[in-house]
Amino acid sequence: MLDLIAAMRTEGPRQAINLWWQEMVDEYDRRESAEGILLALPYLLAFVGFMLFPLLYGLYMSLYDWDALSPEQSEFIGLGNYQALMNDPRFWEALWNTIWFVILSVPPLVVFALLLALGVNRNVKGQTVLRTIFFSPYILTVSVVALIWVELFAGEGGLIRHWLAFVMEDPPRFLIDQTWAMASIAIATVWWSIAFNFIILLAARQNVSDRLYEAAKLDGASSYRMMRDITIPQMRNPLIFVVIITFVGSFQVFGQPYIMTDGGPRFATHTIVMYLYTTGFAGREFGYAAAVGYVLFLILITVSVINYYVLSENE
Amino acid sequence: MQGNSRADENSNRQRATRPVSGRSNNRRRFLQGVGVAGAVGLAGCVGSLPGFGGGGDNESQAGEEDLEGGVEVDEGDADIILRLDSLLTGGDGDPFEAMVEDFNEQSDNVAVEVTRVPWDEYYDQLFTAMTADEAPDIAFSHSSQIVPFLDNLTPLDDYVNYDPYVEQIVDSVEYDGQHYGAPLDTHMAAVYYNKEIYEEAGLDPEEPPTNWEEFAEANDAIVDAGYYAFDYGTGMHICRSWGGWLRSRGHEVIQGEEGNWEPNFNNEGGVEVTQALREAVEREWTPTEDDNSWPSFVEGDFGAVVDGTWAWSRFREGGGEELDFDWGTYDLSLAPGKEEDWTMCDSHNLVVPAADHSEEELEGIGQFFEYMTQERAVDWSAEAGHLAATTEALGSDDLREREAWDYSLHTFQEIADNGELYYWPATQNTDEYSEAIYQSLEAVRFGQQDAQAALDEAEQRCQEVFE
Repeated sequence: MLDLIAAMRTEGPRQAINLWWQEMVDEYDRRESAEGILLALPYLLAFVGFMLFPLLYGLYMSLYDWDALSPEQSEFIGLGNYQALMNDPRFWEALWNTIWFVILSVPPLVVFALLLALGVNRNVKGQTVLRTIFFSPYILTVSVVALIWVELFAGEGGLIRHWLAFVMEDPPRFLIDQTWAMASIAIATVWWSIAFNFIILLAARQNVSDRLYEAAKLDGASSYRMMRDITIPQMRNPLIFVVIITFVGSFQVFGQPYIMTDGGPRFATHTIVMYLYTTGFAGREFGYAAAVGYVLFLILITVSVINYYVLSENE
Repeated sequence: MQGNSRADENSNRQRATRPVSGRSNNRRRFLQGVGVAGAVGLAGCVGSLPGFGGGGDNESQAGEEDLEGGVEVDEGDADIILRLDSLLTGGDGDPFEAMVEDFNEQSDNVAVEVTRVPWDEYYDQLFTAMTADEAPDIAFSHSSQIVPFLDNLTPLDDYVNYDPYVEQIVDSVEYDGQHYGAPLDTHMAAVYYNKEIYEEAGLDPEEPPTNWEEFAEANDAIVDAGYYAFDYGTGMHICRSWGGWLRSRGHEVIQGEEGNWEPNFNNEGGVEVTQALREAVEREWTPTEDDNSWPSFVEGDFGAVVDGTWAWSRFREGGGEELDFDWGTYDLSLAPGKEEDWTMCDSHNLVVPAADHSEEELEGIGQFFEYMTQERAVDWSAEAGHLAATTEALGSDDLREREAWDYSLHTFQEIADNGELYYWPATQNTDEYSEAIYQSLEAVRFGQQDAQAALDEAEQRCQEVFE
């Protein structure tokens, strides 16, 4: 501790008090930093144990012809799995299927969620009820959602085909038609998971100050203008978050095609995570599956960074 | 139903059986679906897709999974307590566990406790447990699934007497002169048919078809009577018919050896049996999709479906899907232009994941395996519907006196007796190459590809898998 009396003699009272105060602040910072680390430690341990270590171990596995039952017999093959992946038509097919799913699902998941959020934010009657209704699918598990939509899309006796039969002669067979299968999965996914984006964007919209709109109204701004110049810019960060998180989620689609179509028809809904699962658990090629996982990881990082820069470039 | 006239009954059936758009059942089916889904959601988990089509696996099609069950053993009940993870979660789970309880009662020093594992997760869980050295003492493996585990299974020749088993069945677990499993049964597919509909169509229900021409004639008659005649399913289920038919035309699905497999179905015989799948749809024997086929059959509104031995445990009294009409089974070996009779099958085998088992434990395991697969072979057949794996049980009068005999076992016994058992080739990646095949076969069923194009594609995909 600083000897305040001695400091007063040598530095003068004003400087001594400044030094003393600075020392108190530094001590507080040190203590807070130690407590912070202590509080974060459980998460850090979990992160290292369940995320970082598997992540690095996966990278290690991807460099081997990995024998999961007898790891000591695994053979180091360097980038062999990655080279094989580049020449594997099944990988490219699964990647394309995944990209197609992303194209079909991400725009509606963001745009409809935004429209719903803006709609519910207006002073409509029963706002709470609407919020509950829109959110309720999200609490279901993927298995339940998939089974509901399998029933709805069923070819023989499905409700959607039944309705469509009133307006068209031969309604599509959604889950067995190559053109429709992925779209059907995207529809089920949008119904199920739009609620998450909706809640985030609704909260974001409610954080935009009403004063901005009042000022704009006084200046005679139209609704469109307010949307363009106030709502969207003010919601930019949540929107970027929603877009990135939706991209990542859609790239990782697994449960819906696994249950609804089993990857068919003719592998049209066999996504990259399904391919990872198949090579790992059906083919027992865990090194190869780890390489697939890493390529997906790189794709997701790249897409997220691109999204971030594109969406925030005007900031 | 009994109060109705035959004409009324027929009329009701026809409305429910071959709807143009299936409208009559839609809302009910939807509500049932939502109800089931909701119930499953409340339970917090879901097993495999129940029903006929399913996701392409085997016994999941026997019905909904039931994970409540198993056998508990208290410490101190025996000197040696063995842990067994069971994949039998359909109608065959209860009889299996009853037999285990009997074993525990009669054994002095060995007891086996059983835990049920969802069928569709079974091999993933077993594999994961083995990688973590947490495998159970005893596990199940189908003959078609055993290859990836071979290096980590204990050969059983020193602990199990293999003489009593049917040679063709026991061959499916023999690799390099050693046996890695004790076969509990063999289970194959057959045609389960509604004898009342056959009779109504003017057919003799006691003389079912034995070749393609008779089969076609019967199916046409059933269609004329207003019913769908036959469904071979989708997913892996499709391969039960197709694989046996292909073999009946003289071709194995794949040929070669581990590390050097080649598809062997893209040939004249393969094209013809694949075309037969489409022909069934075009001649309206089979609906384009199989969503309604199984429930319609159970309700008595569908001529016949292809299913496995396990269907008995669902159809029997108390099995959950009791059939209230007269039904029977006949051999599925009906390939157009068949040269031989072959029926696709698989076996449940009890296996021992490699671990530091003592000699006493291994001997206890051997006692248990012989009790379950040999001493109780007739009971297993009679209760679960699968065909016993021992020669003695197959020839026994006891088996012939059981209720299941007249319905299904006699058909399966004949198949085994005639040496018609065709095991789907087991490789390191059986599921992968099987999927490559059945996705193409589905495309033929749905009318999206002709047989030749489908087999070209399946062949290419299989080659990619094997590479």
